Amino acid sequence: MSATVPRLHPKARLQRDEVRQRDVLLYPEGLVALNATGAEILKLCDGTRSVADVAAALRQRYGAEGIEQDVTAFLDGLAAKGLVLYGR
Amino acid sequence: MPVLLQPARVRGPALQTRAHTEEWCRVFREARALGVLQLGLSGGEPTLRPDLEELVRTAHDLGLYSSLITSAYRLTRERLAGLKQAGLDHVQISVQGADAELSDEIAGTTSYDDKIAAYHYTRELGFPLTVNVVLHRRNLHQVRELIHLAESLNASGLEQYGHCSGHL
Repeated sequence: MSATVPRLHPKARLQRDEVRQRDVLLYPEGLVALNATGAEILKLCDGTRSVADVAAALRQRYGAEGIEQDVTAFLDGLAAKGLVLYGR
Repeated sequence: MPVLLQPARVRGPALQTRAHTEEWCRVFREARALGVLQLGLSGGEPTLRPDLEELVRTAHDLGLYSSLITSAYRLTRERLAGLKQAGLDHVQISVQGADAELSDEIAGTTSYDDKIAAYHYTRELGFPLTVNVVLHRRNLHQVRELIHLAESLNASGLEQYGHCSGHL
């Protein structure tokens, strides 16, 4: 699973909400309010990085170790809502 | 935030429509400042408004995620493309039955072919699409065909768009 490439579904839009002072993922008639970590993960999902690459980028930036499983769980949750797609 | 857009009074002076447009744009700005992130453009029939593109553009610039809820009657590909360019995010098109005969009879207009064409334009232009069906005793026997219609519209491309929502 870590070799798969996650990307946002085209119907979903990641944006900053200045009113809430947080990032949100908008989609038809709904939204997911993201914490800083979740937003950071999604910003790294550019359609070229694999899940392992995303975890490696976070490790490099923040020294976060052993987070690949958490990244996978987070993205799987959004994939179950149809907001994240796997594969190129 | 659902916004019920009544058709602009196009017979009146242009200034009146203009003021109406600016008033809506002010409402959108105030709603965004309150934390609103979703805008549903409904009606009546919102595509009857000549200022729809301007309203959509304002909503988009404010960071509102906009949905157009339309019958798609006489809705052209050019109009949809213009709305896409203005920043519209999502399209919902209603259908009254799974075939032209029943859908047109319930709708009271010859609109089924327009709807089917608009479903395809919507997907070609890359919009997420929702198929809206009001279910009742006159079309309930077609529920299987209606689901199939929504599925067939989604399955024809690489991306899976849209869902079928029913209101009883």
